[in-house]
Amino acid sequence: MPSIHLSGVTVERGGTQLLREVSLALPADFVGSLIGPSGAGKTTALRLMNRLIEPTAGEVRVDGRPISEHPIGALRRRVAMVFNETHLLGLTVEENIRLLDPHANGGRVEEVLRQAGLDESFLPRREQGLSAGEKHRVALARALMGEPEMLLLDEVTSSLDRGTALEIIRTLQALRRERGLAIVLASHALEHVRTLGGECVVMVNGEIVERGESEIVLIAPREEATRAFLAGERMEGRRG
Amino acid sequence: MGELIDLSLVDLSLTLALVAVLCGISAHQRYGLERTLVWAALRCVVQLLAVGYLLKYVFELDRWWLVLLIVGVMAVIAGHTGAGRIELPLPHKRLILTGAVIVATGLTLAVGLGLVVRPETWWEPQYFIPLAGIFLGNTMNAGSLGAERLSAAFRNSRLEVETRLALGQSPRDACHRLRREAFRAALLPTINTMFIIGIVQLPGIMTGQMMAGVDPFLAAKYQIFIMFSWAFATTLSCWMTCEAVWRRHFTWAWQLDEVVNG
Repeated sequence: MPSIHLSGVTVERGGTQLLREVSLALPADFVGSLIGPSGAGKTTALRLMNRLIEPTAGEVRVDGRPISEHPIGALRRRVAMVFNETHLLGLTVEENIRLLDPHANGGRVEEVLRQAGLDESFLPRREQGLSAGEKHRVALARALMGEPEMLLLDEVTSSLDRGTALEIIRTLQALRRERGLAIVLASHALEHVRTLGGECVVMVNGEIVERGESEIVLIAPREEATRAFLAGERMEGRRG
Repeated sequence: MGELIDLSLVDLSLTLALVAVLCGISAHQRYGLERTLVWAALRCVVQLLAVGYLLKYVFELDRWWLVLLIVGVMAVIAGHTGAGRIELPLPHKRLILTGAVIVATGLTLAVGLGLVVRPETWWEPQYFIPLAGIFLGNTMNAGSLGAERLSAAFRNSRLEVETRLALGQSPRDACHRLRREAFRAALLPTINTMFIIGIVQLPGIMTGQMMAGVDPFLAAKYQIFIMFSWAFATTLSCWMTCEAVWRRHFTWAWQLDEVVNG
């Protein structure tokens, strides 16, 4: 499984610093979340790990080697990213799942579908006939076909209703148990982060302000910036 | 069959009455196109008469370098005009369009004149210049249409392309749908023309040849040769342009180029 190290990484776009000298080490068996308000740099960090963008300064290493030394296609299959906004590419569920391996046998397709929490009755269906949660599960199954070792999930539960979001997180936990997948969930939804468990990295304004066990960080944060973020989210949750 | 009837400048000036009618309609309906129409008509007259006189001179001189010079200038103008039609920012678009137009036209002329028509000399201006003119104009249209469509598709389908890239697909695969649709859209006019030619419209070349007294069957055979060559040239130009354009939208590290994609 890949371990990922960000060393003093800065990402600047259009005069704005999206990440500021961030250093972060994720071990190969990492399970946990990047949390923080919108614009904190969570998505940018995930995009760096999937090499969808290059850092302006600093270095990203995978398995101890610079990320640029890894073949890009193979790296992205190993460290697969699933976006918040699901795009099923105008294809059926089966075509989506076969995207990375058009000749995969039916058993393999059904296996990843089951692991993502769906059954074979979904195979001929298209985007229009699927709920938001089901679309996320298809995106998950599609990524699983590439035999990833680490899943980067960008706010995949944030737009879902509470029940569906928690079901997806339980699916992620099952994937962790069954396939030993490392999981990095970027989210600002505290309940989802708590349910996933593992470690929690708090980001604010493009910087990492705190890191620790999710249970501890969410209940007893050490940093003022974390406390301010958590208070804001809880207020938002009560209003919601 | 009779010779082509000569038109004097007085005869030509009578056709100006048609443009005057157009201006009248525009003024009456308040479309505001009168000035543009007059300017366009003036340019049309000056450009065509000038090119007519120039080509008369070139035909008489019958020098290969002069023929190539004329066609070369036409190609550069076609490339620049085509690139100007691409409104979205795209680095090196003039170079891409000009290159595609020159290669597609050059190859088509080589095949058409070298293997099909086989004139006494390969540069015979009577064949080389009119055919080059047809192919340049159409390769320019197909190339710029393909490039414009593809660039617009990249803007509208960023999430789709990034979704595919993030899963490990190569840039070529990640934008395959976009390339296919741009290519089809750019070539559809050519294919549609082939479907209706001779039924809904008589093409300009065939019409011109018949008016000049050529046997209609021979004119039809020339038209078939031109249609197939035209289809080849436009396809080649569109394909080369789209190949260059999709590559411009990615970095060497399989990422969407943020400058080009905005």
